[in-house]
Amino acid sequence: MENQKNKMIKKSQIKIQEMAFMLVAVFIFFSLVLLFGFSVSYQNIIENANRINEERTLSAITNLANSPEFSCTGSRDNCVDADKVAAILNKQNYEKFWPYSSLEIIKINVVNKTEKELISCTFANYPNCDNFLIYKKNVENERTISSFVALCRKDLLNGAVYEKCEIAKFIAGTELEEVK
Amino acid sequence: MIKELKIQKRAQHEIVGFVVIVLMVTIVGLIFLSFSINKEPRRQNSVEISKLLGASMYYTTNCSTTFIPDYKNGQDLIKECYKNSANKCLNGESVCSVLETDLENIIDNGLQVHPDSPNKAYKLNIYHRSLESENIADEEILKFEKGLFSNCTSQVGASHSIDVSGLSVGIINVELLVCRND
Repeated sequence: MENQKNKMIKKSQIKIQEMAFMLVAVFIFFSLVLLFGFSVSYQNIIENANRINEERTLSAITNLANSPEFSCTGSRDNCVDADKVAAILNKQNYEKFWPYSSLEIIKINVVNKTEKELISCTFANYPNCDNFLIYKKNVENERTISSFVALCRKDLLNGAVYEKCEIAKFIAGTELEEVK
Repeated sequence: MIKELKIQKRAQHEIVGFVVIVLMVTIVGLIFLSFSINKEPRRQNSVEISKLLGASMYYTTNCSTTFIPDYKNGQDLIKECYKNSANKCLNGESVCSVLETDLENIIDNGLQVHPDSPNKAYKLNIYHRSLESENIADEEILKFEKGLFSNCTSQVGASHSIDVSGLSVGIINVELLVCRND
């Protein structure tokens, strides 16, 4: 009788053990499934965050291109007046005017040139030049963002004035704050 | 003896059940894996490409159809090409071929399209869409592509619409799709 009771207890213990193992296995399995699902959704969140960030910074440059200091005549969207840009070159006051650490406009037909080969625009060589460095604060941690714009200027040919537009990249630098 | 056989049969049943569960989990896992591997890259709208298309509409070409220096911009050239694809510039070049060459240069230089760069290939499609009726098919104006559209991790694109109310009841759409491999 006692022996049979002991056997029953042992069998029950094994059953409980089996159940416990099964529960642990099921728990681990569902944890892995949850982890997988979470990693997929987390990746989408990061992708969306990067996209929104890019759109926000690009719209900031677009707003800059549409500001009175740069915009072309006729209120054309995303159009920069090169003559206005040439007029504000090397004006130190603008360093405090915009919240960017650097501002530069580079024509895209010269992208194959190296940085040294680019002809920097001055009053003397305008418009036969490649890049307009509006200002540069020379900060340590700088991240640049760029957007395509139409760079237009008035030109004279055969005694007639016409508008010549090229494609350029408007590059703005922002100083990155270091986390201490 | 009978009891031992019963225990063995029960154990075999449990093993079969376990194997079935393992098989089911493996099949489900494989299905998920194949979905995630063969997933078609999503098409996303890109602000960068949208700005490039917008700026290319203002770009002054070397084509004039009236007098020099009345040079056409990208948008005017698209309209000219739509009106009559046989139209020629004063220098004798076809309006549509000038449009194609200029847009190709702008996209190549602007997006740095190359098999080894992040932008591997692109497709440009310019077409007229009638607003008179939905049954009228789109009319192709210019279509070209560069590079191989394969193994793209993502496809980004943008479109630009040109109003042609003076020419027809409809719009001209310029669509650019870029294959990226980051």
